[in-house]
Amino acid sequence: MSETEIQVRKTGAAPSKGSREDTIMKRVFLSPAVVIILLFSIFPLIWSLGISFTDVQRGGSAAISAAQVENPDYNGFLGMGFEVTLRNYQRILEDSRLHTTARNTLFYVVAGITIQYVIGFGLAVVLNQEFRFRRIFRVLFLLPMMTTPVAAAYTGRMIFDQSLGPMADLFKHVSQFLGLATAIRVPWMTDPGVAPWTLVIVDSWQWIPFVTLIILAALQGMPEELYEAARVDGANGWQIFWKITFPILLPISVTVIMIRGLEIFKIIDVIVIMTGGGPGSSTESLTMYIKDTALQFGNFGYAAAISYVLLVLVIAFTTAILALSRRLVPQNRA
Amino acid sequence: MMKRRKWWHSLGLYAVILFWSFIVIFPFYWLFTTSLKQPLHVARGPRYIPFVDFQPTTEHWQELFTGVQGDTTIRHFNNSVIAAIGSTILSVIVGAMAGYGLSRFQYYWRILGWRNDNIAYWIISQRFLPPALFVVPFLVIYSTFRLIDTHIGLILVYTMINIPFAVWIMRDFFDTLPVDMEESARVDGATRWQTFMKIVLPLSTPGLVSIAVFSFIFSWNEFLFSLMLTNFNAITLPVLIAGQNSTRGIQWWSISALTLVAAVPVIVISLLLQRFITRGLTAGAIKG
Amino acid sequence: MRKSFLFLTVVLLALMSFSIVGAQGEYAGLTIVVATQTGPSISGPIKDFAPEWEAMTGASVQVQEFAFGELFEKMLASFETGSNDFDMLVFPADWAGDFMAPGYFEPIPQELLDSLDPADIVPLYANRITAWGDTIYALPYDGDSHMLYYRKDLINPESPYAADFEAEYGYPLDEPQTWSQYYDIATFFNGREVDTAGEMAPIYGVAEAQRRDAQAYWVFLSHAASYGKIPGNPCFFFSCDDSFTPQVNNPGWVAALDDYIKSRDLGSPEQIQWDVAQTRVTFPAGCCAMNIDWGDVGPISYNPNASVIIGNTGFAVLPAADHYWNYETGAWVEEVNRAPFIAFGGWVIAVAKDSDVKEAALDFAAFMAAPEMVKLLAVTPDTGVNPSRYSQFEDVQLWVDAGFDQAGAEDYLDAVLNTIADPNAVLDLRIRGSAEYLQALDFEVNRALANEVSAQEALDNVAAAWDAISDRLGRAEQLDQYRNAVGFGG
Repeated sequence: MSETEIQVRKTGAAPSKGSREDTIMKRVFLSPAVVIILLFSIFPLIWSLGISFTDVQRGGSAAISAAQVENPDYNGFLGMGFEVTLRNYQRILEDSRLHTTARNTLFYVVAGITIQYVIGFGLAVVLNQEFRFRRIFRVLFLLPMMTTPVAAAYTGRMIFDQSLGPMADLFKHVSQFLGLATAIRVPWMTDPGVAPWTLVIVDSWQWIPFVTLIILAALQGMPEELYEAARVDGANGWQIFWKITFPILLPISVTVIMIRGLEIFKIIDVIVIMTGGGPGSSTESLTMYIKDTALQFGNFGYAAAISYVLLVLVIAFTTAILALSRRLVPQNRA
Repeated sequence: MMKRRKWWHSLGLYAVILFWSFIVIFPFYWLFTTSLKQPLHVARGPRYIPFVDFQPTTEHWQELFTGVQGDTTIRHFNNSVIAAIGSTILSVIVGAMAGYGLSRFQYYWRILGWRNDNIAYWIISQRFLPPALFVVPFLVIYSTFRLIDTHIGLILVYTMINIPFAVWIMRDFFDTLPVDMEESARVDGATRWQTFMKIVLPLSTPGLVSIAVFSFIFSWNEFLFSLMLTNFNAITLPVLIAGQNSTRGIQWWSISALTLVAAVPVIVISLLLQRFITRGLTAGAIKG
Repeated sequence: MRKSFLFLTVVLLALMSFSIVGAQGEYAGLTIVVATQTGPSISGPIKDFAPEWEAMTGASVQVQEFAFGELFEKMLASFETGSNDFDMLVFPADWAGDFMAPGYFEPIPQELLDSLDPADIVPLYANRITAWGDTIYALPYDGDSHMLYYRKDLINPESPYAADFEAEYGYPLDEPQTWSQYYDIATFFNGREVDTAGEMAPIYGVAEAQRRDAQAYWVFLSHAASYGKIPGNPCFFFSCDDSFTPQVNNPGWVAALDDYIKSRDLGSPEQIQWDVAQTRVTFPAGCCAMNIDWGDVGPISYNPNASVIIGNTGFAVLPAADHYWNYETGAWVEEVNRAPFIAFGGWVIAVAKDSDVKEAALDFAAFMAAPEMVKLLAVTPDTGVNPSRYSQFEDVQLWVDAGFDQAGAEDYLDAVLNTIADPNAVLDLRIRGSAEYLQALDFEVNRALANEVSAQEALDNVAAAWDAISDRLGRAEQLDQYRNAVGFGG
């Protein structure tokens, strides 16, 4: 954002005179969005909070049907066919599969953010240089973002297949070239230690462009005078980057990291298609576990309860990032 | 920035660019060649170059676009178009209105004590809720209201997911527009709505286009909700792609061809409107 | 593909002449919605032949397809939410407990059954798989059971490797009869350079699906059946006494899981991520010496675009165990025990009770399940339809016409028939909640394959999970269903 635009922004945000027409119109403008969010987001949210305190499952409540064997008239809490219970939340503490999936999800977030931010930033710096056909490469580098994650995952599965894919072939030829007796084999999707990294690689392939796109836009908005002044002071390129460029890019970096982090918390399609959560439970994510609990096991109450675990993680993550950003960038609007 | 570079600097630069171009392009190349392979070309080790490594065939493309399978492909494609365009239009309208409201009026929600900034944050925070939270409620609500497998049902979900970004970006965008023109129009007797339609929107084309592109890309590629909430009439392309892992054996060639088909509209739109993508994102995201 | 289509059309014309459907335009204006899995397997033929039936009756057919992993949820949701989305359902028979037991289907009228030559259907399908209790709710469409496939060019007494093999293991190289022979052969060939389609390259010992959230648990059950099935006692997954104890963690099952883990190391390094869809592509391409799969591999192995082992595929009943665990006495019985696994039970066709167009749907179901129809479909590649009628086994010529060679066709039909006619065969778990029971098994088996837990621990966890599911669904009721499903106590 340039100086002038920020000026304008202040003018634009100035309060408007309140006329009778305005009091009506201001509701007209905002209401559709608020109504849609209330209906499609807040209502389901409250509803699933509610069922997280029940044992409602596909085809009714288990506790009620068990109790009805003794007493056919029994119909649970206020006769509504369910019981209020804390069992789901107790189970959260004991469920080791849940703990594994939560750990995996946090791994994806941390590893994914790190890789995507570092490489994405680097590419943005590269694309910000002057070179031939720069426009073409700027567009080209965006391509992965345009495919559906499902397709990116299938592509990854083809490429990383150890017996049929080109990646294993490449490693084989490299090993031969280096004169190794046995070819280097990377168990991309079949080793519990490697498979999570492979998923991060595929997700990163797709979303590094997002980081690049935004950082590049910010780089191009940087005022040239700052560099000139630094060069006059005799700073070299490296010093300019760390003393000037990077600090200016910090606020936007926080935003990028937050957006990517929140998106990775939701990761599911790539996993389902590439590894199905395996080998073992090494790549299963929270979202995948929630979907299976709800749809395969039909355990709606518990699925709702663990989706609140995910929500708590997401809120903790956002709070941490925002707190960090306040310390790093005191003038940030957030 | 246009300074003399050392030769090794240029070399490094081009090396990085070529390397990354390869990383980006190779998977697409692999998809394209796989779509021309016979099952045996896939199952008997990697084959790289058509006519050299293997004899290509267009059989799978023909199969996907003719006969019974062709109807299926086209139905999924059309549904994707309907869902994406429908939710894009809705998101743009609703997002622009709310963005304008938040930019030009002072709101105060007494019960919550919220002002414009609080409301804006509340709206953007919706984008960050994990979709898993909605899996169960949506299934139940949608079957109650008979919205399962309807275009309108899918459009509404996607709109809900797109609105937060649209509002956020448009609010920032309107903030940068000078109010003078609007004020002089209103002095001349135009109503708020007329001002909005006749003056503000035409000036906002870049912002509107960028949220449209983002809504379109998201809705076009979305998988989880389409999988859950549609069966036949409204089912979209990503679900068709995912379904190619059938009991007949995994259909790598169909997956590849369908992936390319699905990517084409998005790539074309992005190429045409590339300037706006950056514009919209910088408007929406830079200030954090 | 085109050739087989022409073939289909020709036979279709013949078929129409003695079709059982009613007069022209009987169901004019009606639309029946069919739910099944994403094609071309199973759903493909329905889509291909629907126009013929539409022309005869004036009704129209809409085929809604779902990926296999979603099918159960979609069907169950349609019933449970009462949204009544589907009229005719083509579904795996092992979901009977969830669909037939609650009465979601229209019983098949007797006259309809009679019109479909019931004596021709293998009794297992006619009386057990399509029925719940005494009522028949479905029509058999596809027969399905696991069997063993092997590279006949490598594994036979005259093979160039026979002498080496015999020198090493002390018995002649031939079709494996027991699991220990199976693993001897797998070990012998794993990593060995052999001639495949004129190319000398190393092959793997086995191709078994082991991917999570796919079909791997069925393959594991094919191992478990022979180690855990007691001859004469139909109860295999659970004991049929009042305790309804899961048998999944008994020593027989654990031995089977140890075998299955052994298979992991005798196959492609990618095997733990292979589902059946992938072994079906790689085995016919000559990757491996042996393969466990459903009947579908038979026709695929004769498809020149997909197979390099045309005419070189051996077909066999699943190997037997050298000994089995008798949970009644709590001891190993040192007797060779052959217990083929009727994995999945095949796809069957049923009509929803709440359908508004029941008559029409039943009529279309009968059209698709007609003897001539399934006979034709079973020999066509890519239909996914396997034999379920005697007439399909008797007519070898039909298979030869479809591209098999005479010996191969006989070998294949023999293996299938011997599997489904075996009195000691194990039926899939078909009680309420079967999907949930089997998902728990799938998850833990995969953890054992990934070395997260030992075989014993994994199966102990499964047993605990099964007990929890049974308690939740009602133990007495589940026991009753299981007894019903296996035909316990007559």
